Amino acid sequence: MSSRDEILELLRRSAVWSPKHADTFQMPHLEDAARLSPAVPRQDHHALAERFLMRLQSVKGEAYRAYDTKSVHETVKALIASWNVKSVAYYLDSPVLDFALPKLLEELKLPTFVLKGGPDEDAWRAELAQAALEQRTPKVPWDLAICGCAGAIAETGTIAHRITQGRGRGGWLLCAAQLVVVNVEQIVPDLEDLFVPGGALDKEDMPRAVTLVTGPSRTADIEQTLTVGVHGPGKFAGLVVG
Amino acid sequence: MHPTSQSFKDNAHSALTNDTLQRALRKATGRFVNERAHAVGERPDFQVLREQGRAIKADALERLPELLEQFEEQVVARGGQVHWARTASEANAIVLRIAKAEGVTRVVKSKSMATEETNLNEALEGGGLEVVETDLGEYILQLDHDYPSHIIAPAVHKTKEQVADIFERELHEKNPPDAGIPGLNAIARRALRSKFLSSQMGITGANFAVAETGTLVVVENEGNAALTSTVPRIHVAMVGIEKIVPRFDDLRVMLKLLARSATGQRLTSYTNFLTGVAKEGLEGPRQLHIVLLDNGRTKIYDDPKLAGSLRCIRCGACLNACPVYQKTGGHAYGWVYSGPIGAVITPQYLGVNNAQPLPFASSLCGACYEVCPVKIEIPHMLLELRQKVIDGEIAKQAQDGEHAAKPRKSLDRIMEGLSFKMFSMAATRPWLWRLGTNIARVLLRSKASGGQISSLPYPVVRNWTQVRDLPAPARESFMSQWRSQRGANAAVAEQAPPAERKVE
Amino acid sequence: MRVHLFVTCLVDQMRPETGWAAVELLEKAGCEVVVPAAQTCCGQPAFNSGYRAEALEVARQWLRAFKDAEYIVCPSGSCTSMVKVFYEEIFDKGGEEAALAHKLAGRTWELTQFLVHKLGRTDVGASYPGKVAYHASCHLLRELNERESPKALLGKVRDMELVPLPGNETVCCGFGGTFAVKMPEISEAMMDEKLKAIEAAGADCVVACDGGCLLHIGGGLTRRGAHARAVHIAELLAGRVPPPQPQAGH
Repeated sequence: MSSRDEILELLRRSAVWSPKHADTFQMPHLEDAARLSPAVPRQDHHALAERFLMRLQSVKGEAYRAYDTKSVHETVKALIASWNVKSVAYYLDSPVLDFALPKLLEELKLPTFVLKGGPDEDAWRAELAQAALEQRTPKVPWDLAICGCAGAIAETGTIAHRITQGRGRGGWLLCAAQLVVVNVEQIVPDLEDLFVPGGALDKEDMPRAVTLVTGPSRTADIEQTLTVGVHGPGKFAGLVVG
Repeated sequence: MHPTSQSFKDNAHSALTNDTLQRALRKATGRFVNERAHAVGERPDFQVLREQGRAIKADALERLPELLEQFEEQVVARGGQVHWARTASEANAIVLRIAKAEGVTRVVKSKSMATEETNLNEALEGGGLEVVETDLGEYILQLDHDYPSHIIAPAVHKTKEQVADIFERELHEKNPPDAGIPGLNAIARRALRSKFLSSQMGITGANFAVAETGTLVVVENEGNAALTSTVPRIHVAMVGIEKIVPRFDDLRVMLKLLARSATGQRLTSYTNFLTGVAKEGLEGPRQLHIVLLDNGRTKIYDDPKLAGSLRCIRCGACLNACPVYQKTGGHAYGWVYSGPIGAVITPQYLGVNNAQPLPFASSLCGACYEVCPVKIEIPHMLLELRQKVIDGEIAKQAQDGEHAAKPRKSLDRIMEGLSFKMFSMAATRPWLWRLGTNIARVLLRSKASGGQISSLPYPVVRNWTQVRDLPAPARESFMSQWRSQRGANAAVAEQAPPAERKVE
Repeated sequence: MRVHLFVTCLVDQMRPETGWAAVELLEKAGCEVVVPAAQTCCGQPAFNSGYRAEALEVARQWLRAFKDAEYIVCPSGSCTSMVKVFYEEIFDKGGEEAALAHKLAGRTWELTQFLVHKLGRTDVGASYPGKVAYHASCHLLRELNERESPKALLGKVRDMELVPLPGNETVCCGFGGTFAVKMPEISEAMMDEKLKAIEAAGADCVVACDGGCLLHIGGGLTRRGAHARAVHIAELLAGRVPPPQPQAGH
């Protein structure tokens, strides 16, 4: 008997096993949960944006608001200056294109890399090869990665990345800083609101990877002292537009 | 690692007399308790969520075999492979086999208690692989050949000076004098970065395994689990069979419970949902291997009184809330799972006779139950296990036909058994109870001075007076005083005439 | 209203004053108190140590002693929990004994719960000129889910100042029954935290609803020569606690 069969048989011998139809499960206290939830109501975009930015700040993310291309450009410029960014990479996400960020970066004369997702980013294939040759740790060629997102949660200050065609995680996971541009209409009240058809966590349409990001990478493993920026980016900013 | 659960009392003694550890425990558990309280207080629906969490995991357990089959089907449909392991060594062998077949030489790992349970690292290293822990706490412990003392803060027992020494010794990296803890983190980040990029296999655990979609959920703060499951071309996930949740939507509840209970965060920095193998041209490992681990879980599942402990989502809240853990730390429990949940599952995994002290390592205060996001009735389970310890000892003696291997322990247990036998005989015979307690009180009062007894140099009871006084018992018992003061009214209760009994 | 007093073996043997205080409170509230002579112990010491067969025997005796009672009142959260919660686990489900145990469990009350929730009394005419800290015994708090009744009664005690034990009121004192002698070092460490908190609060008195906790905390207080005394809430409410001595150095 295979281990699989053994395990399944052992489970089925127990008094704990109660085979019944999956549909018989009733989630208890649904009304109470809805009534008691602290989340901001869906209708109020302004309040949702405010809560999102406030919650993001509370987890050591930086929070920005803009309303048009001009204010987006001003914010990004200021951020690049304050973070001392020398090189930038971006995914071809709609906010990046809609607000003409490639053009801004051109104007700023910064070395720029286009991220395409995929098994290896072309953008830094050369650096990886060089590092292997020199037997040293590769250095990510860009300081800042700019992306859009597939959704944002007001209650927790979270953005959602779906890894689909043209998108990846390595591009922003490995570098030092990340800026996510969020359209105000993408902000939902609470976690469960992403679990809807068309949402970032649509169970009928799960790509290989979806990652919810809530602020920068962190650890408190040494003496319970918080340090930001361990393996993932140490600088994280959310820019809500609209 | 070799379990030392039988030496809980000695281990606890070392912990209690270690000032550095005591300071670290106070700081860590105090912080976790406060942060959790804030995060929970923020959600008026938290108690409802706990009940929902309990119901979800209970449902998962009731239908576990079908859900495991459904999970497997879903994973395979998405291009992954599922392996089933009855034992720790089988699980390790599976992973080693995959590694060898794929020419893997270096493995990165993110935190997985299940792999600690099976000693996977040792097995892989024995097979000639280099294994690198990437969670900062686990990395420190790996370099120091130590093991975790807390489910989510594994290196809580290490000071920054100890960590600096470890890095200097093992990595030949000296932390600059002013760099402090950020400097240590930077050393680890540098050292591990190249490992991510040069490993062929990444091994993670999983917090939840969704039967409906075959999705694994991995929750973290550092980013190392995301990297471990993104960069290397093979992803292996070691998942206990109890990690199953039935429906994808169940995660809406579970994820609201987990981080708040564990660290007081609303959500951790990264919550990863991993489903199958990436399509051609998309980023991600080319192979996914999920190892479903039994290793004693089917045995726990077999006992309706203890199966509830399989609802555990490994948040660590019970550890932080436990006044015993707060004093002893995790290593005292002698195995990878410590604190209240450890006291319940370790005896079941290792066998009750190999972890006898653990069910007694508790005052049954219930603080653990209060904070458990899935409402595991830990104190009740500890009581159940205490009975098993006593029965187990009796069974063992019956088997051996003579005193067990450690005669001193057995003698204690025999004496204890006799005492409780005498207790129950007296307590079922009021006349004998009165006689016995009258004698006992007289004897105790003879040891008192100034109304207090400060020394009772006899087995077991000396443990009381070592640490605190015992007031002298009453000269006359309450029952006797009642009889003499209230006369005929006493002892009336048993058969009062029906007419006198008020009907409420 | 006729009330059967479940006095508990600890009170019976070690601290009859608590029993008399409970009687006084109940009689003042208009109850007729009877004390079944057949009671000895609820069986918890055996049950907590894993000796279920012995605990079962003792529990049977308890059922015999209280089987005709309509109201069973007990000045101990842990003994009340034994009857109300753990008797469910001791008796074989579906049997006659289990049915009786279930019935009696429904009729059993911890003292403060009975006074406040059943009799609707919070003001029992008590007074105490001093600072009192409340220790929330674990079984009353978590097995019987009671947060209100002791505080409701203490709130009406004249002249008394209730001082908080920040971060420690609901933390276990370290008694835990046999835990106190099986794991004495850890028990002591937990007791230390409680004593430190009591001293920091400047309490004259620490009050609880459980004799076990009070034996342990009180034993620690006298061993350390501390100012505070450990008293049962019944004794405080019945006015049987002498006013505090002035604190040394205060």
